[in-house]
Amino acid sequence: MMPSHIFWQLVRHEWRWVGNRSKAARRRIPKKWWICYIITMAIAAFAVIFYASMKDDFGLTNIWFFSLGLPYIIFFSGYGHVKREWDNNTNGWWLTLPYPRFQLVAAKFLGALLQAIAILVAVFILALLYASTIAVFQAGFSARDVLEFIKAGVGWYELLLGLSPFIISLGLFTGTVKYTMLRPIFPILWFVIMVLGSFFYWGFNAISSKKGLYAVLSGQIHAVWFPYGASSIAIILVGWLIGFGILRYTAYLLEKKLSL
Amino acid sequence: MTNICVRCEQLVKRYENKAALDHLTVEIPMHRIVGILGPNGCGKSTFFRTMTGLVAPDSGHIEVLGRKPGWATNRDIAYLPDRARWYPNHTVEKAMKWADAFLPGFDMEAARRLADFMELDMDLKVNGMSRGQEARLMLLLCLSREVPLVILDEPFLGIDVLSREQIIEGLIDFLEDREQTILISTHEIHEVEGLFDYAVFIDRGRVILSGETEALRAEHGSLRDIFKTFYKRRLKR
Repeated sequence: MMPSHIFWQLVRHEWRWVGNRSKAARRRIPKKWWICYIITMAIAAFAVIFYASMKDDFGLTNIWFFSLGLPYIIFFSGYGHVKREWDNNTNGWWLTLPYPRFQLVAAKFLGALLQAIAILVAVFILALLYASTIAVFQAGFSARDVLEFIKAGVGWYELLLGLSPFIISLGLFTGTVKYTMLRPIFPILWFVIMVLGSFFYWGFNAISSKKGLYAVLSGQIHAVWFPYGASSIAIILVGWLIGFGILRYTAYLLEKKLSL
Repeated sequence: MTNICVRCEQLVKRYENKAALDHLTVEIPMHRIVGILGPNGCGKSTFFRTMTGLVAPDSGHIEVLGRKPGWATNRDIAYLPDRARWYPNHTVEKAMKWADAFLPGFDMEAARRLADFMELDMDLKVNGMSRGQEARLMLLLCLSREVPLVILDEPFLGIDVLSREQIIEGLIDFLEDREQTILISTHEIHEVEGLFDYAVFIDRGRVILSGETEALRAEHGSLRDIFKTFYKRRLKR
């Protein structure tokens, strides 16, 4: 077994952004230009929201619609953690570390989870800054609207955080399948994931029909700090169990079914 | 303790219709510097991957240091994988710290000495390195481990001729007193010939010749001559 201090060092290694050699080689535009584009897009997004906020039917909670892509970002955080080992040609180093494969996968899982949490926190802070700025500079918004915005965001984030372990383990599994003898099912797996993604967006409103998230984000009903019932919590807990099973199976694939 | 480091019997590994290892049988003795030689695609890398538990053989038997290969045996193996690269955001110093944290038997002092010998600045970032510098970094990370078995799969790939000669000369001095078994696969036979004291020639997943290099040379000429003779014969067939 791996001593716990080594495991946490490995988690720290996985948590850090190590870069992707393959993507960097494909990317012909210099890094500073990418930063320029991102800043320009952020300013444009801010301007659009600011313009939209001048309309009468705009509510601060609408801003959260911009974050609906976060589940995909969480998924790709898991997927990318495996893929980058092959893209960087470091897979041989990773897979010959003298520790059980499940612990190697578990370290990637925690690294990806920490990255996902960091992204979620950054997005929350950014969204809160947007909302606060709009509330300050636009007439008709009060501190109560900002509180409503925070409540809606917290409700949305509770769901995202609750489902993150399952989504990340699915990402790690998908990233792994490509390099194992299960490679032929890779396209089918992508199709299933896309269907699951659609189900997620359809289903997360149905999880709580009375306090559905779309209704909260569009301002039709008031946000509450914790809008989920026992069935939603049960779904999240089952998701954790399935996620654990997926991680176990991923470790098995890496140990027994690797195709190099 | 047995004096055999790696023992394989009738080892088979297939990729779809192609046999990468085709009933490979060999015994590699301990404490030797061993050349694993053969043309591209002959099964050298698959052989190494089987030794490190990266791939499981379809059939046959393999023992490394008296045990079945797997993650646990990798504690005692320093392995430089085929076509490997290093983490692009690491500096030489950070790479050494990584190795110190995760690779048992890593000797930081030896690593610093080797970095100095290989002219690698500790602050140099992998992203800004030439392929040769990166190859040297990975080589030093393996050679700085005090483990019974070192496996180097094409370690000189990407290193320019002058540096290669210099590194090989240094290696001969460095490896002389070490109680390790070192397996090296390479195409540069003429340059490293003096390094090996045992050689295994592989062709199409099978061992076609193996033995002490002194004995092989006495019987067939230099390793390079053996290589030429055996593989030319194959091409003619």
